[in-house]
Amino acid sequence: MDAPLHPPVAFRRTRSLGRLWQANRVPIVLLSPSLLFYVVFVLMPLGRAFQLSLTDWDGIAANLNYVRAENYSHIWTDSRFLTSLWRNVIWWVMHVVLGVGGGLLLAILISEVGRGRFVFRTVAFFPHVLSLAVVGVIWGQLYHPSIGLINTTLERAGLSGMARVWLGDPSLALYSVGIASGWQAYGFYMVIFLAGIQSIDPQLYEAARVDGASAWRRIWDITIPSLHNTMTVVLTLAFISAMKGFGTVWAMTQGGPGYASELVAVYVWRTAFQTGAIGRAAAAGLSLALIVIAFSFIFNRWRDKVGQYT
Amino acid sequence: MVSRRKFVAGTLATPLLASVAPSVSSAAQGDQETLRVAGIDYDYTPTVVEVFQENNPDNPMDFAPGTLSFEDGQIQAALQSGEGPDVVNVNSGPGRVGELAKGGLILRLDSFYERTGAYELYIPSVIEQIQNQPPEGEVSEVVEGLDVFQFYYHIDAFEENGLEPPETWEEFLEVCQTLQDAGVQPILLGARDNFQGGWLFGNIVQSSAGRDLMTQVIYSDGDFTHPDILRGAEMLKHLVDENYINGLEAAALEGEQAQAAFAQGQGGMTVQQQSFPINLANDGVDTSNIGSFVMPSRMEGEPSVPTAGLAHSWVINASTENLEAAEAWLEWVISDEYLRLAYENGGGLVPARIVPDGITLPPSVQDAADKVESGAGYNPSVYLPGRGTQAWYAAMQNLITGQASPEEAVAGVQEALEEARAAN
Amino acid sequence: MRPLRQLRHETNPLIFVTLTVITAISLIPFLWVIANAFKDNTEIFGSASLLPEEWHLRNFGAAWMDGQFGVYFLNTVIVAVATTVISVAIAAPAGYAFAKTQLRHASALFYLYLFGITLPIESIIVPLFYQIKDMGLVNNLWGLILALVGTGVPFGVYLMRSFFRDLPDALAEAARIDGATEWGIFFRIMMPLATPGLLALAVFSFLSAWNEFFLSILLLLNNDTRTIPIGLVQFRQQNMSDYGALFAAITLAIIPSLLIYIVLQRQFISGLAAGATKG
Repeated sequence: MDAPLHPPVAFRRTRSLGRLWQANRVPIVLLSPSLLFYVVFVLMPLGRAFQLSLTDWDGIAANLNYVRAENYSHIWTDSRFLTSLWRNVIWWVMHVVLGVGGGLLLAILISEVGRGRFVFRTVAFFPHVLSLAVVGVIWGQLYHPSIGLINTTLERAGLSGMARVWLGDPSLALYSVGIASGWQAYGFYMVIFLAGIQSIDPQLYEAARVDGASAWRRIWDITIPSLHNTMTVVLTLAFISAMKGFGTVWAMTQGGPGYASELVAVYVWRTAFQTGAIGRAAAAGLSLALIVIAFSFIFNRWRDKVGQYT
Repeated sequence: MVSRRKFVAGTLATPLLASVAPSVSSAAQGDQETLRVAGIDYDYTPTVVEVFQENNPDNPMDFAPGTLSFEDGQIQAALQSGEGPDVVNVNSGPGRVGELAKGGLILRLDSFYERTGAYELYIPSVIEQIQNQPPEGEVSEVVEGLDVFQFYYHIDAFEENGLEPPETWEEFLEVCQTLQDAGVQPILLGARDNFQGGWLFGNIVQSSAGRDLMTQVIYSDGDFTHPDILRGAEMLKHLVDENYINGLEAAALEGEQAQAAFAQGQGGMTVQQQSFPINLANDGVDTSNIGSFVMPSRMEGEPSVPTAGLAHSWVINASTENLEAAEAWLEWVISDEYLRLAYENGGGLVPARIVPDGITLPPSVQDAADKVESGAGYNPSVYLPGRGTQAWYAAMQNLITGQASPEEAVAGVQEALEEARAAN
Repeated sequence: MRPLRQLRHETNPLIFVTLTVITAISLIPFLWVIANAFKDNTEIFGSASLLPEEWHLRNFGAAWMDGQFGVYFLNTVIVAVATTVISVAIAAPAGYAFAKTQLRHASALFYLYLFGITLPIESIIVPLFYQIKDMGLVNNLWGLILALVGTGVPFGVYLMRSFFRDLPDALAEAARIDGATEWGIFFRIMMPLATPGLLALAVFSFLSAWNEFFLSILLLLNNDTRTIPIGLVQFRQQNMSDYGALFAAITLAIIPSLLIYIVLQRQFISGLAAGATKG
């Protein structure tokens, strides 16, 4: 037998791995715990989600039966899934308007206030220390058709014509739940905006004061433009955390009445764990992931570009 | 793959587990010697558990109260985890116990039935039902009891308005109209958590479509869009359109909230199970004012019957290492003594067993048992397969909130049924 | 905020009123729930007044007996503290590795982490559940803790990298010249400097673990393993018609959260603020 001209492939690999280890011992040791967790609890499940999405597994059967892209073609023609996607969009808009908008308004007002800002900030943050599920239980009671604070207050104010069945009316349920979710969120964004306002150069305000600018002009011309970077961070955070609507919805309507307040998370949950269509649920979850990742990528690109010109 | 995952889990979890307070890990560690029983905590459960322990001093047992729901995947999870209890009490029905049996998560009990003569102890139709559900011919459960669903009404509200329990659909509508004119909400319903809405809708469908058609839908290839079932959906919609049921409010209320409102004297009628009056009596409500009737049949020449369903069943975890003790528990469950203790201690299920002499049932249970004797329709919530149940509930909620026409509602259920049948 | 305060002494009354209204909206649901917890069911249904006419304690007894809120509280603390400690312990070194060491292919690896930040949990919830089940960790607090740490890794590493990146290299260089090892530099010099970052990550991890629901409802099946959110939702399902007891249960569920917040307020606020401005 001729002697090999090159060392065996395996040997070469080991040597280069060994070199990699020698050169990067410190970072590798520092990184590995996080990588282990990330691989085990995110990447492996992600791979398995893809695998399951190609099967019709029901959660019980011992073997996987592959059905190709059937689950994907089903959900992408299923009006129930598509509507739940659309509700996620509405949900996100509500989260931005109520949570981010409310937080921005609060932060600006608090920064303008002379005394009592500590109290305002503390109290406005209260709702955010609660779990969305606990918020859901509280607001479920606030919306109660007969004993709820909202309807009883309307009645006492002589506005009983405005009383509604907030969670039972399919045209209102999603918005009612979204309001509860916004109530929990605005304190969080307020804190972040306050930090952003705090880092604005005070000389800008000083100059404005010398020019005799009104409070509104100050806010409009200095505060809001200076918050551009904060706003990018906040909108990204809002995008991610708006996806966590599951707790409120689950505690208040479980996606009902019918499917009227069903977000994708609820669709995935019901499909997987109530009807046992695991493969379909996995396909729905991955479809959502694709949309979210594409959207955040585009959004951040766009903000970077806009940021360069302001 | 599996072994590698287990290894990773082990390396991650072991040092962590070792460092934590025992209260955290105890929940997951099963003691092999102790029989672990889990299930619904009925009023009589503490008594029957205690007597079992007295009679079996050598078999230590531990009862974990709590409902493991099939719909949430909790029961499947508990059985698959390898940490689950040896014997579990679960919701009955082909969509539940049947699925567990098909998946091999619970043990077959044919030989247990043979050995103990249990086939003769139970009402023949119960045995028939549990043998009929897939996998056909096999038995893998011991039925704890039945639930029977019918209308309950406030006797005083009827008497004040000169009303009698209705015997035809037209009379039923008149009762509703009269109550409404008198300022009483005719039908109270809390449907947010689905159950009660399913009971009501089930009674209406039984009235409209009859038992034979529903048997075909459930056990073979009957069509849920059949005109008689569609008529049932139209009947429910009619009740909502006339505001005999406040559909939106019903969609916002939980079943228990509607029950509480009825107990406070609100409303004229409500569809409930036989344990409803017992629970009210336990809460100190005067139940002499509550009467019951069966939804009148709209089928020519068919008797009016309530709907009923197997309520809960005991099953044995396929991964049990305590089979002997688990079977000892089941033998206890099927005994006369167990039945007697159950009804002496507030039991509210309709017996699935043939009741031996000397055991008296509570009046409302006896009333329900009598009504079932002349036949009962299905409670579709229990008998439709898993995917069908969800579609059935959605159809009900969509009908009462005006989100779907009767045609759309039944078509949605039919679609889910076809899918479920294809999956088998 | 100091510099701003020096600018103005007068507050526009309109601003003050608006602020008062919004903070009232934040507060009133709490007050309403707590007030109702002291009413009996007849008063909840019949009375129009916000405060109870007669103060009842029965509801709290019922909620405490039925709900095991002490156990839920303890479980929530274990989950939140363990998740926080482990998250910080693994994310800080990784963030440092990305920011301050020369690792080959580091940027590719970092993109892999970034990808995880936007990945919605819905997309992996199904297999994640089965995976934790295969590990035998369903119905065990550690199953939840490990999953929370794992899914929190991308954000944590990203945040810690931002903090370490902004630390000056000069100190590390000086220490290296003095003969400090790489480990010494990391533990003795960089970690103490990154304290605000560690605090920020700790607050984010703590809040999200404290409030977690999506995974918990799948993984925590028994009363002895339930956390506050799961326990409360379960309690509500079982005590739907006992309104007074439900209000008392909500009160028991929110009080620990509020107390922890009030005690740690400074850390919460500065942690969140630091995290967001770096993020």
